Amino acid sequence: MDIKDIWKNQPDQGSSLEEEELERLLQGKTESLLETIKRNARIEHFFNITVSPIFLIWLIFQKEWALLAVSTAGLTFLVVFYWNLYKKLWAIEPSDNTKLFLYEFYETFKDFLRRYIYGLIIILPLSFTIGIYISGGEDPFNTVFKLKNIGLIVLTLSVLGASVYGMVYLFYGKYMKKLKELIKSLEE
Amino acid sequence: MSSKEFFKTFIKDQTGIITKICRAYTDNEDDFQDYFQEVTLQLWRSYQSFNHQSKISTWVYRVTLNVCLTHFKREKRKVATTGLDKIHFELPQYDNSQEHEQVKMLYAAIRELKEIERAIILLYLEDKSYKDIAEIMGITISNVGARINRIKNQLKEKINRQDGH
Repeated sequence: MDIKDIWKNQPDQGSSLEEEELERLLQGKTESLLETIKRNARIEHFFNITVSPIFLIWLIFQKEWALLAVSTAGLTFLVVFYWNLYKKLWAIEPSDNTKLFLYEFYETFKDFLRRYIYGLIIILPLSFTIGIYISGGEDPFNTVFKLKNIGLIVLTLSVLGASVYGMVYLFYGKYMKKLKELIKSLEE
Repeated sequence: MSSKEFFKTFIKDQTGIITKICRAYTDNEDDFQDYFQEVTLQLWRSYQSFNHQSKISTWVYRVTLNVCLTHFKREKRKVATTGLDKIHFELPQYDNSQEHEQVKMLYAAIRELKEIERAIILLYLEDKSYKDIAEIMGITISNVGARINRIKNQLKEKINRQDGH
């Protein structure tokens, strides 16, 4: 027997969804990866646009002009990056053709993961500099960057970088791999 | 009639196809319910922006397949999904037990295929034209033809193997 004939032998299940069940389904919360990263990006974007100005205003009051200039550049980059990511995420529609949808999803997902790297490059050195400054002393930078401390600083930053990379791979590696496989399978 | 009411009527008519696709992408009741709920939610979200440029049935296939392809199974169930009364992973019992077995074997064979191949063969089994399949998947018509022939042969082999031939 032809596989199409076998397939057509299935009983029709149309309209067997009860009204109350459907209402419950529509009230449910989506657990898809796309919706999860949308939610995360929205929260982080909101955090950036509220906390960044407060921090910059604080620097103005402290009259830390050099730190203010560096922070403004770094945080502006982060806010613009998040805004673009946010727009891209909301433009992805599961109703597009499969190939287009998978490409868009994969590329935007890569952007979403890149934010960890940008966070490391901008937030970490910034927090580090502020930490040194606040920890005081007459000449805090000179004290911290003494030759004997350099090795420790490099080690700390390396461990932090490796931990972040490991976490990203652990949480998102399998999804990236699957998306890549799906695209490859379509292109065969 | 509000758009939600209209959607509810519409989705009830599409239950059959959503059920079949979700069954082909899952292998147990929990995952099936999870996928069914996710597809329904995504259809509802996309419904507002549906522009009627393609046929509504084509749109349903696109959304359902794309959600099933990218909905990653949860390893640990945190919250139980809404249980459905009449729609389940297991096929309802048929009057003809031989037909019932054949459909079960076909599903089992489809589940052994790669996920993209599953999508293509499901569209073929649902009588979609090569042109429609190419449009939904984003590949060329000639590619669709070549793949369908290959997948059909694979399925026949898998079914024969299950049947003990």
